[in-house]
Amino acid sequence: MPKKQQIEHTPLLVLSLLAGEDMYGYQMILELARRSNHTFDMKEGTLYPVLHGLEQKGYLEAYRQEAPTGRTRKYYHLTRKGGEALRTEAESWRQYSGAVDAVLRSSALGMA
Amino acid sequence: MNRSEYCAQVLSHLRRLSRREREAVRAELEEHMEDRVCALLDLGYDQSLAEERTMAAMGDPAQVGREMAKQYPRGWNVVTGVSLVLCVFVMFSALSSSSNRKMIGYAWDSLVYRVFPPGPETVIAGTVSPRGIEPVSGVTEAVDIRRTIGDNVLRVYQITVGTQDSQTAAKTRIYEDGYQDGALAAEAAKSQEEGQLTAEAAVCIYHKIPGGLVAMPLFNNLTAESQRGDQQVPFRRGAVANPMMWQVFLRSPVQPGDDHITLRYAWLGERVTVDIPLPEEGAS
Repeated sequence: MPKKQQIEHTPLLVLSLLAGEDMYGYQMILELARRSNHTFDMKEGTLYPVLHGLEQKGYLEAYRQEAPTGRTRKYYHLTRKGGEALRTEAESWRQYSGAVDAVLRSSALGMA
Repeated sequence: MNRSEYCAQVLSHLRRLSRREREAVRAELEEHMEDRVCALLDLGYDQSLAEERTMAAMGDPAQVGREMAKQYPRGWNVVTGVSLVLCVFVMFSALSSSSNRKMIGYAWDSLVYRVFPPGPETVIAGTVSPRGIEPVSGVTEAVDIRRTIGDNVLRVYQITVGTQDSQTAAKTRIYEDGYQDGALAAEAAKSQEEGQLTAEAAVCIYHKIPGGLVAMPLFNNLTAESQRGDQQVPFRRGAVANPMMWQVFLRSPVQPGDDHITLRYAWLGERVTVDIPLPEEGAS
């Protein structure tokens, strides 16, 4: 039986974004919108509780650094613990979405 | 609503956070809104419209504040608060008892004196029966000789060669008469006459662990003798009021030309000998 999904979608997406490079909050919002073709347009303020929660769990660590804009920003970095959580949860998500997809396909065949 | 009002509304839900944490949240939100406004201005928006769109994009500040508060569980604050109250209670209890206050004072003195040993006046002021005894006046030299005896450390920190004043010699004689056996006291009194060249070693004894009690035999079985073995003055004066740190003066008669005196400790088969060089000027 597939493992129950432990992380909600937004934290999982954030961890996934940070697997590639360190980013600050506004940069993550832009990147998330771009990669999802604006499917994941979220209220931007709600990103920060997610980031702080992941930081408290030790999945992320933060540091301040000058951004390309010349302004100093708080960057987030994926920790080893965060990377492990990402792998586990991504696999769990794939199993979950695969199961949903299988059900939907069988229903579509039945309707045809 | 402007940016600072937005932040204020978010922070109004974060009263449990420390000031530093709250300021970090405020800075991060303000920086995000600054980036968003600048991006909109670059796209040709006017300032007020850019601000308005940014506020709309940020979402409900109350929701952001509530969600943020959940990330900082109250439990830690409660534990910290309870610990603080307990610490204050324990400290208050400790300080409310006079004997505890004394012990804290002893421990403090034992810490300070092992680094900065007190001068002769301080030691004499703290003796059990000072009787107006004056330290030997003469040539003084600072030394630092340490020996470990059991769990205690014996440190010689000063050596003086000179003479005792007559008043001290007399008072010491009275004290020794009442304390030592007659023959020994008579001998002591004779040797403590004014003019007798005397070496006086200032010694402190403390436990290796600050706050530990010093073993009593260290006081009772410590003697000083000249290099010819003269030990006719069983002179020990110490501030034994502090069980964690004793300061002791040990005197021995010396003669011109002597270059050291010897401290001896012997107790239950354990023997320790410490040679203390005399100041050249004083013994010559």
